[in-house]
Amino acid sequence: MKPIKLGLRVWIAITAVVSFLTGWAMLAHSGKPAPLSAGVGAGGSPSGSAGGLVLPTLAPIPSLNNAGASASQPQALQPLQVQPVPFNSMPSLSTRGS
Amino acid sequence: METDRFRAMNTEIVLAAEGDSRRISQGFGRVRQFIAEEEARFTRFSDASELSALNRAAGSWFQASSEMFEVIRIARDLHEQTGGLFDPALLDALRSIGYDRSMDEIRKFGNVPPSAGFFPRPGAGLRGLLLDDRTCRVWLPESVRLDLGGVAKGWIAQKAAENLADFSQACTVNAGGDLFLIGSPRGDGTWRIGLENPLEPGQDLAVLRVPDGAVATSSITRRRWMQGDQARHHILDPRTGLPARTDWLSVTVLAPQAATAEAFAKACLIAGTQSATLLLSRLPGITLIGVRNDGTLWGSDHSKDFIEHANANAQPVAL
Repeated sequence: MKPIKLGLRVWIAITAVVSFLTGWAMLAHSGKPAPLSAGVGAGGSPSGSAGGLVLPTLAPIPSLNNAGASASQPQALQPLQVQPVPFNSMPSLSTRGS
Repeated sequence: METDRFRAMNTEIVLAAEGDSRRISQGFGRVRQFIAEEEARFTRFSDASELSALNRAAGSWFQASSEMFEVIRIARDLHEQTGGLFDPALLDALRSIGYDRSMDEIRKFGNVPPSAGFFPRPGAGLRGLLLDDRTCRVWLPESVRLDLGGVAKGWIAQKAAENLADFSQACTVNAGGDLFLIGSPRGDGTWRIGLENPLEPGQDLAVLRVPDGAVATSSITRRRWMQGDQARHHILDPRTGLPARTDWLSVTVLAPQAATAEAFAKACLIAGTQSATLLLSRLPGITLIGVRNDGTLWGSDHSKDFIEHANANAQPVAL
């Protein structure tokens, strides 16, 4: 029984060390992730990738906390004034965020 | 107008139709079944869904159904048309902010724990996505996980309405506030649609008059929760992977196609009031009506033509 236990312990120790070293070696030699830049295809994908997409550079957005202080109006959008909707005139269908 | 209401896709579904009652009843049954089937296909909250199977197969070719292939293709096109502001590849980011379970479950508890293993980061977009039109196969890069909630609901609503139109003279499907309208209802032939006040659920801010097509609204006021001490909402900015910081409370878009209306509503909401018209200029034929965070109502060109009793260029009135 003692030799079996000893053998098991040695086996577990060896496999643990080998696994650790193998994982370390794989990580050390793995490819770097593709940078998030326009026009770069993903590494490792078959040829004919869909190509990179460019996010628009948009104007800075006022923070929610400071939005009340912002005096600027949206460009090319029109302010709209509507008459209040009487309760008995509300449509049966409505649109809202879900 | 006959109506049918039920719950699906974690939201209220309303079917409305005019015509022969018996035919309409058959149509309602057909549409309920259709919506149940498509919800099972596109939900990310079930490991058994086709979408979950697709995400697990990232890094290899996946044989998609024709429905899944069509929606992914539409999502890819809308991703390009919105300059990336509509991004269907933010699943990991959604999980990182606590949206890793259905909204019904989140609302039960009100606060979700900090995520384990998922971190907010900018979306990688659909770089490397491949679609084989001939075989309906999809290649998802290993770094991409799809959440099609941003277009699938609208697509399902439109397809459901097209199904219902076979049984009626005029009909609409309303999936949680995203509507697709077909035909001319009795009266003046336009559909009256309430534009809900994002600050007062159940109250309409204005009434829209829409001939047909799609109406979709995105809002940051409805799907909100706490993650620890952080307030969250579900409209993520792909540039940060975090809930969008925007000066809109809600954006409503009218468009010929439901998926287009849904995606552009989200993208314009993320873009904010200053840049929304830049997005609208990318695709003709769509109209925006939005509620800014000071409570005022704003619209793109000709938006007042769709609103009952509206005056444009007037002094905006806060809610």
